[in-house]
Order: sequence, then C-alpha cells, then structure tokens
Amino acid sequence: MAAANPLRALQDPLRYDRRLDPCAMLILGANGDLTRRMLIPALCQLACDRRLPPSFAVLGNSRTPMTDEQFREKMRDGVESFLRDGVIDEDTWRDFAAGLFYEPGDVRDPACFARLASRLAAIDRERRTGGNLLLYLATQPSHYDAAVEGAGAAGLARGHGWRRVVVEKPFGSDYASAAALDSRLQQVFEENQIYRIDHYLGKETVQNMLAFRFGNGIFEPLWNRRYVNHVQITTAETIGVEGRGSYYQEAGALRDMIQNHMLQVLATMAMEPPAVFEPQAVRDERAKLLRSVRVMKPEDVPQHAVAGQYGPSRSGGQEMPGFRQEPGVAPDAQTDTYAAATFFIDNWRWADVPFYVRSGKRLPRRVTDVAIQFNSAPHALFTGEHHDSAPWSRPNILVLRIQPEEGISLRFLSKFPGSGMKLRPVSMDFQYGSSFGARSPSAYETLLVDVLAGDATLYSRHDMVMASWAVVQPILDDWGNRRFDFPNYAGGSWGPRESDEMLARRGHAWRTP
Amino acid sequence: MTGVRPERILRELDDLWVSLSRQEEGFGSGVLRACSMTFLVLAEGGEETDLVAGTLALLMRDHPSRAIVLRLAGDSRGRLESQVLAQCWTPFGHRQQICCERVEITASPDELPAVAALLRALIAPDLPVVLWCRNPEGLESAALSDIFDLAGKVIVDSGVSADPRTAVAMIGRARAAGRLVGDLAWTRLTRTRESIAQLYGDPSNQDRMGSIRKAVRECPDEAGYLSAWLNRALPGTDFGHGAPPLERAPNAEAEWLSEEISILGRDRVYDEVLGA
Repeated sequence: MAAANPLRALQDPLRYDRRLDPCAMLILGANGDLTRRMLIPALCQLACDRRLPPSFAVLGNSRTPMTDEQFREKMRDGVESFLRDGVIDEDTWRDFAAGLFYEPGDVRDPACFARLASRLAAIDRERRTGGNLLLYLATQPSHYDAAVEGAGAAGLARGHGWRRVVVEKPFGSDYASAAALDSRLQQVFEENQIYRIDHYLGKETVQNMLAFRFGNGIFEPLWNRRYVNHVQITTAETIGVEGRGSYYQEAGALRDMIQNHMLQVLATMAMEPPAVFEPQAVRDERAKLLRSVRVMKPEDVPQHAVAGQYGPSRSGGQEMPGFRQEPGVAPDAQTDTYAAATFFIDNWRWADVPFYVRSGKRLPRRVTDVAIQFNSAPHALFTGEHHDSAPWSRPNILVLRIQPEEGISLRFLSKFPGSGMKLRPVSMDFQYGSSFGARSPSAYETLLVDVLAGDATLYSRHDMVMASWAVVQPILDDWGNRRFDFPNYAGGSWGPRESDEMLARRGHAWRTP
Repeated sequence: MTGVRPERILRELDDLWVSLSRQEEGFGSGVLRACSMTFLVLAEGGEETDLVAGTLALLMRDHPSRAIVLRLAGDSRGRLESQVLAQCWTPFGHRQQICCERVEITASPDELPAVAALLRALIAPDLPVVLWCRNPEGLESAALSDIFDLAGKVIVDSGVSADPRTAVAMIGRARAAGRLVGDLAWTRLTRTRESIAQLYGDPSNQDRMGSIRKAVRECPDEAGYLSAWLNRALPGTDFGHGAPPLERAPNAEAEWLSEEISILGRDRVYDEVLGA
C-alpha cells in the first residue's frame, strides 16, 4: 500500500542512527583544556563512528594567535592523547581535520565577533552547514557575558538555520550571579536555544538509573520512605587540585561538585516517573524534585553540612602536599576540598529520608556511586545466643556505581554454610562489561550528539540550575562567614571526623564505597 | 543419548572458569564472565565452520553470550561430540579479561532429537535465546523444528539461498506462524535505506525529490526487499535493477548479526515490507 507520507515511510528508527543536521560549531575557548581533552576527541570519535553529519565544521577561537593548520596540529595532539581507544584512522582524521578552522581574537572585543561571523559565513558556504550554528562557551566563565553579548550583536543568535548555545559550568558562583548570567543569556537566546551542560548527566550509568527505575517493575515499589532508610551519594577523587589551585581556591567542592553534578544525580535518583520519556517531561520531573529539596535554615547549616580541606600526607612513599601547599593556593585558604551535606526532600515519597551527599579530593579511591540503604527486616529472627547476629547491623544496600566500574549491586544476607544460622552479607553484581560488550560513548559524545539533534533531555534547565543554587546558598553563606580550622583531614582518608559525626547523629555511618 | 550429557558440559564449563581464574590470579584482576544471552549457531562443516568462528569472535565483543555452535556432520551416523572453550579478550585500556563461553557440538543428523534436549539444558537461564542458521530452509525442516523452538528469535540469510524470493516466502510463513525471524539480507540494506531516507529528508533536496520518476540503483536488491521498501514509500518511481549481492566477510557479518540481535521485539518496518 502506498504510504501517505514518503518521508515517514522511509524512516526506520529501530535501525537508523539519529540523523544530525549539517552545522558549524563555534568553540570559544578553543585553546583551553576542555576543547583539547574533551570536545575535539569526542567529536573525532563521533566522526570515526560516522555519527557526525558530512557537512560539519568547527571554528575555534581564543586569544592565542594560530593558523588553521596550527590549530589542527594542536587538536591532533589532543585526539592522540585523549581519544578513548587511543587509535586514530588517518583517513578519518584527514576528513575531520578538513573541517577544523581557527580565528584568533578576544571575545571582549566587538571586532572579534564581526570576524567570527564573517568566517562562519564563509565556512557555511564552503562546507554547506545549512546556516545551523552551535555556539559552545568553553571559555573562562568571566567571559561568558561578553561572549553572549558579542554573539548577539554579531547576529549569531538568529539566522536562517537553528542556533543553539552550550554553556559549561559553573553557571555562576552563587544564586545571584547565576540569576544574572541567566538573565544575560536570555536577553540574547530563547530558553529552548540554551543547553546548560552537566557532563554527569551524559554518563551512561546516570542515564541507566532511569532505565533501572522506570523500566523494571520490582524496584519502584520499594523506592520510597517506607522502605528506604537513607541514601548516600559519594563522589571521591584520589587526586588533589592538579595545577588548578587558583581556580579551585575560588570554587571548592560544594560549588564544583555538589551544586551541579551531585544534585543532578540526586534528582535523577529521586524524581517521580515522567508521563512520557520526552525532554520536557523528564526535565520537568527533575526540576520538580530539585525544588522539593529542603533549603536549610541558617541555624541548621552547622548540623547538616561539613566542610573539609586536606592536609599533607604520604602516599606510595611520596610526600603529598596539603591543599595550602599546592601552587597558586593561599597559605590560609578557606576552600572546601571536601564537602558533605544532609539533604531532605519535602515530598510524599521521600519525607524524612536523609540524603547524605559527599564529595572530596585526596580520598582513598576514585569512585562515584549512589547507595540506597533499605530498612532492616521488621523482626530480627536470627538473633540470640545461638545465632551470629553481627550481620544485623548490615541491612540491604543497593549500589548504583557510576564510575569507575559501572554497574549495580545488591547486598543481602545469606546463610554461611555449615551448622548453625550464621548470616553473612553477600553481593549480587551486575557489571556493564559483563552484559554489554559495546563501548559506552563518553558523556561528551552523548551530550554533543544530543545538542546537535536538539534533544535537551540530559541538559539542565534554567529552573533546575536556580533550584540547585537555592539549595546550596545557605551553606555557602554560612561557610563564607566562618573561619575553619583547616586542614581537617589527611590526604588518603575518607574526610573529616565531623562528617562521620553528622551521620552518627542519626545512627548512620558512611559506607566504604 | 551418547556420552555427551548436559551435566558433563556444564561441569566442564565450571572447570574452565576455575582454570581461567587461576591463570589470571597472579595479575590480580581476574576474569569477567560475560553473558547476555544464549547464541545458538547452526553451521554446516568445512569453510562454513571457519567463517562462523571468525564472526563469533567479533560478535561476542558487542553481545557477550554463551555461544553454542552446532555442526551438522551429514556424512556420518551416531556421532555426537562436544567440547567447551572460552573466548577471551582484554578491552583497550583495561586490565581485566572478559571471557565468553563457547560450546561446540558436532552431531550427525540421526542425533538431532538428542541435540534438542541437550541444548535445552545448556541454555543460560532467564536470558534471551537467539538462533543463527544461515540457510532459511532450516525454518521448514522438521528435523530442526525442536531446536528452532528453543529460540526467541531466529536469524537467517536469504541471500545465501539459490532462490532468495522463495526463502523470503519461507520467512513470511514462519513469521505468520508466530516465529520471530530476522533476515540478514534485509539487515544489509540498512545503511542504503538510511542514505536514501537522508537524501529525501534533506530540506535542500525536497523540491527536486518529488519529481524523480526513474533512478539508477547501484546496490543489490537483496531478495527484492529494497524494491518492496521503495515501492511502499515512493510508489511510481522506477528504481531499475540492482547490483549483485555483497560478499560475505566475518566483520561485515558480525555487524549485521549485531544489528539483528539488538532488535528482539517486533520490527514494524520489516513486517510491512515482508507483507508488501
């Protein structure tokens, strides 16, 4: 039978890759680490996988003078160092590199944007990018205002194709600056053109939380205050600030990790099921959850939030500097290299369930996970002198491992073989690698494809960002007015004692991830 | 049944894992046992077996499975043998080896009833079962029906048949009878179909595309599928005759199989084309 709409009849979404429009991508801050380590390797990987449209071009910009050829060489170094498989096919690189261009200039200079606009017009003609433009703000956050204004004044926010802008974190440094940044962005771009990137949301395992929760029937009935005792979300790094001392000194763990990545993970873990799996519906639920996170009263902050800073330590026979001894860091810096907080979500599902969140540098191992600790069985059957009751202190825990060993494990009690009823915790494990051999795309690959396709599901929205800032603002205010006795934890430990005490007050303890 | 019993094969598999783990013990990372489904393969002997081995080696990286390869030894009687082995690889940048199980069974035709029972016991519990039998005639073989019944999805290749259109008719009958069947001849067309869809979907081409009445096709029709698909979407356009079918190569075949394995439910477009 003849199809009514040939274009629809030609489609086969089960089998075809998502189609991306031809487009040009203007990267501001193209000489920076983000471009070299993340963006270009991710784009090159997409080119290797034939996911990029044939008519695709990148125009890089930064203040450093470079020719197109020098820019390509520099990007090639980045690709060779940071491409996930480490191997680059010469033909693919040649085709990809032919679409890389560079225009030096300072985004604070209006003439720079005039030149960029002119280059983009030429690239559009040469590479047939269809007038579509993705503006990527990979520059210093202090240049965002100038970049957005310049782009608007040069007419880059409107045109005959689509126009989108990706904004890297930090989206401001507090509630007020985030609101100001947003207001500036929205003077030039519509909200549906703005893609606020939080690369944690692009991680395969964070997306899998939605599949795990809403694709299975057995977990969601347990996913509430009746069965969940508390939740622990951990992001631990073994490294220190690694040369980013001066940046990190102004940021700290609360701003750098909790305000964005960890609250997004929390929202994904705790949100209500959307009616449909569509960008607006998913983001509505995430935003609703973030608005439900209780904002601490100033007097509650000392009880519900802990700041830490690592001191010197010894690791692998080497002396490791404390934060204050790192290059670019003031000897009396009050920066939190560790932050922990207890959040509550004021809704029917999660009322009174503590969500413990911690993030720190120089911790014993690199790990990001979400651990859901369930209530113990209502009646302790296996206690008394004839039973080994110790395991009763270990209830069921469901761990969603985000990195490095992506997977899910459920801890439960099992009888130890032999006479008597001795119970021991055992773990039922799912590892991504054991079920899916295919390489997972990097978060940036996922998110770049999404923005090129106009899919904002995994991007933050204005109200989500503001709700996150509202949650951490009282903590920032309190910490800004205090003088901490730092350092208060040794590198290689799991953080300051006060953090353990914060959980102990509710009879809980941090698990060892 | 002969000496080939499922308990023995399962024990051999267990022993294999113990031995693999011991080999890796010194390196501290162990091996990761990977299994997302049971992948049954019906292969004829000789060259076919070599091709299957090459294809499986590539396929397991995307779809780690318990692979059970059944070789039909048509020239003998009373033959039923098995061996177990592992296919291991270390992903780039990782220390831990990933290993999949492979069971190879060689059987003469008179042993096929016993083979079905054997396979039933060897299927990995609670996971999908996919059967790959290149020759579509297997779909209508009474001797193989018990084995086909084990699979949730059967993958064949009408392109290897002397009469691909008859093979497609067999697939149609099997699907009508409720068997989920994929055809690699259809799979091979995905990239071509995608390109055509992109060509027609490109806004800059839209004015011109509506007036095309005749086109020259330089790709194989693959059992008439491409014509059926094009006629369904673009009736009235003459697409002429296609090129000869593609050569089979393990890497290409693994890619096609991978695509079919990733669709374990209803495939609306294929159903419509098959019914056209």
